[in-house]
Amino acid sequence: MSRPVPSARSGFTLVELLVASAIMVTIVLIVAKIAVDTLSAYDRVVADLSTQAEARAVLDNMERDFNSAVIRPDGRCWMEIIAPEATGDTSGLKKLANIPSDLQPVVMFFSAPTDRPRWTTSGTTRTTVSGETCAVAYRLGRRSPFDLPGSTLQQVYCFQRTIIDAQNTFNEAIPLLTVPTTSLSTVTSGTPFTYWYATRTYINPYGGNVTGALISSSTVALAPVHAAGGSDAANTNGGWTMDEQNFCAQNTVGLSITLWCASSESAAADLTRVLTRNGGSTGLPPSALRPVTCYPAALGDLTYRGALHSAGYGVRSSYGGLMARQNVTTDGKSDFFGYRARVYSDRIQTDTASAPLPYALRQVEASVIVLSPAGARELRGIQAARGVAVNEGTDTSEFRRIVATHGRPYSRRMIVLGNGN
Amino acid sequence: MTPPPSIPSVRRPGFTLVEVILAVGVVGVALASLIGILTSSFQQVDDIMQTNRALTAAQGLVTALDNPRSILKDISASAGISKNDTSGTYLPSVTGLDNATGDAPNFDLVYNLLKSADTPANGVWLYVYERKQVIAAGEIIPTVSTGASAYKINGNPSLIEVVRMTTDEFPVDVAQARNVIGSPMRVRLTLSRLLVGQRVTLDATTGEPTTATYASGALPSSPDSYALAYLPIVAEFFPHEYESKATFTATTNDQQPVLVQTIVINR
Repeated sequence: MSRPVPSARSGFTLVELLVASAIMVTIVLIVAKIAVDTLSAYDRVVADLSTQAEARAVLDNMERDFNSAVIRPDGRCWMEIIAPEATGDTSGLKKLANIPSDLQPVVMFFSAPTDRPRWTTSGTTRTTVSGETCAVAYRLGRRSPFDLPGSTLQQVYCFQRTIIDAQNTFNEAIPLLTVPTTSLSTVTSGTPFTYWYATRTYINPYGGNVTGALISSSTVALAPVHAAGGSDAANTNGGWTMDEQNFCAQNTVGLSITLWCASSESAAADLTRVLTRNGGSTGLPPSALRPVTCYPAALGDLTYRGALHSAGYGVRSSYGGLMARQNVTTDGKSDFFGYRARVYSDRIQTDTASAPLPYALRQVEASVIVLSPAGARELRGIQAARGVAVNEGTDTSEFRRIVATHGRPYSRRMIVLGNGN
Repeated sequence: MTPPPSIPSVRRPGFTLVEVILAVGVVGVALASLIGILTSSFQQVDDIMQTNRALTAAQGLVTALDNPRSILKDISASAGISKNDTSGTYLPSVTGLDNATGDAPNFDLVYNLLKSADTPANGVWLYVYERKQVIAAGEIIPTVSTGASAYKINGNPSLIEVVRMTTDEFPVDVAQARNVIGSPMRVRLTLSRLLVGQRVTLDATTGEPTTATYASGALPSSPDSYALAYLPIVAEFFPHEYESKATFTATTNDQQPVLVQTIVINR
């Protein structure tokens, strides 16, 4: 009898192989797609969580400080914000690596931080430091979190928060506060910056006394600075504010401060002012908040603001408040400051307005831009390859691309309880 | 000749249709469960992110309620305050919130806003979001796309905004015009049940709290008749997917808040 020959079907046909391969490829593609999606979601989550953690470190500290900020109604200047090296400032403040120095405000004020030093060591005894009010300063920096200032590769953009103990604050800082002259170009006129600008002897929280510049008086540097034509190594003296113990959060490349103020005028006077400014459309009660924010006064920024304005966007309307709906080239300037703002209990003096604004500070809105870990890695890679911080002159676009791609903004409004709230 | 019964099986070395269907079914179930796991973990990640955003929004909301004149109302994409505004206004310009002279205390504004929000259906809807002040350079305005002023890191800070829309809708074109980062949070404010059992009404003649206690319904119409020194409210934060409010609040559309927070407004 004839029997079937099994060997007749021992292999696969070409068609079968093709079909099998096609199925396999499809499955692999699907799995790869799922994996890529998962990884990108993971990256996003990591970026969000890490930037948020850094931003919280900054904003939580700020919130406690501003909640307890001391602004006494005694006519003295209790808070000052400067934007280094902006037009009109004669103190010679330098750039911070590739952040234009007119864009990194130094914030100086007084508050009762809960984490202030409460005692000092003198020999073998521990002495309680009396007092509540401490001088506080914020600034952006670029340094290693571990030592001073660290190699280029170790350096990261950071947020530095410096607190002077209550005793030194009482002895040295507060007596300096006087009613300063209206000139904003001087650094010796009795404002918080007068204190921070110079060399002081202060109690080191880790023991003993230290004498040194709080903010270096030679350059008032945001060290290590990008000096003209120099490198990071050119100036490492940033003053004690750049000490590693003041390191608060890393990868922080932007800091903006908006002062939200109520009117300190009578209702009638305020109404008149508002009506005048807004073309007589709507009145605004004195307690309505109006913003005063730092817009660098450099020509480029006026161009920027003007361009935004003429295109129908931006500064003039950007805050959405009635007081912000002003002509950007005339009276609108008064609600912005270019390089300096001095805060008194009942008024704010800016470099853009000849007379102090009749505003009383109620809330402070801080906005920080934090780089995600991927962006920070990319930036460090570029800097390591070059051996210096990427330079504003040569690497502007690279830096801005990284900030635009990997930077995340976080903002918070904080109530200044001590000024009439 | 009839072939022996064993021969057909020798001639069928492949699988039967039933076998193939079974195998495909098993693989399908496995894949489906795998994707199900992935979806649920994506969902969990999304929930965490939403809760994080809601916490930020909650902080912004507390600050805004502290001074309700910083709350905006009825912004729009074209004529609103996203551009050169002539009509944008603060919340107190809503009729009935402020007093005649426009200088009512902040507490009174919040009170008037929320005194009737006794049930979820009567709740007050706000939108909380973070926005960039100006658009990114080069996106819309070519003249500032190059040069030193092209991208000002600090010249474009973000800020938290709280808005009330009369229609309770926050369309996507408004979000674009406001440079909103991400999507807004939709917040519903209602009176807290902590009020139940409290003597909330002042007697008009004696100035003392009446013996009647609050059970439900609206609070006294005037803040001057309200007996307590504080107003407890509940804020529910929902993610905003730009669906209409009718869709959002439809009973068939089971929406869960990502965060519920009790806020106490002090006089």
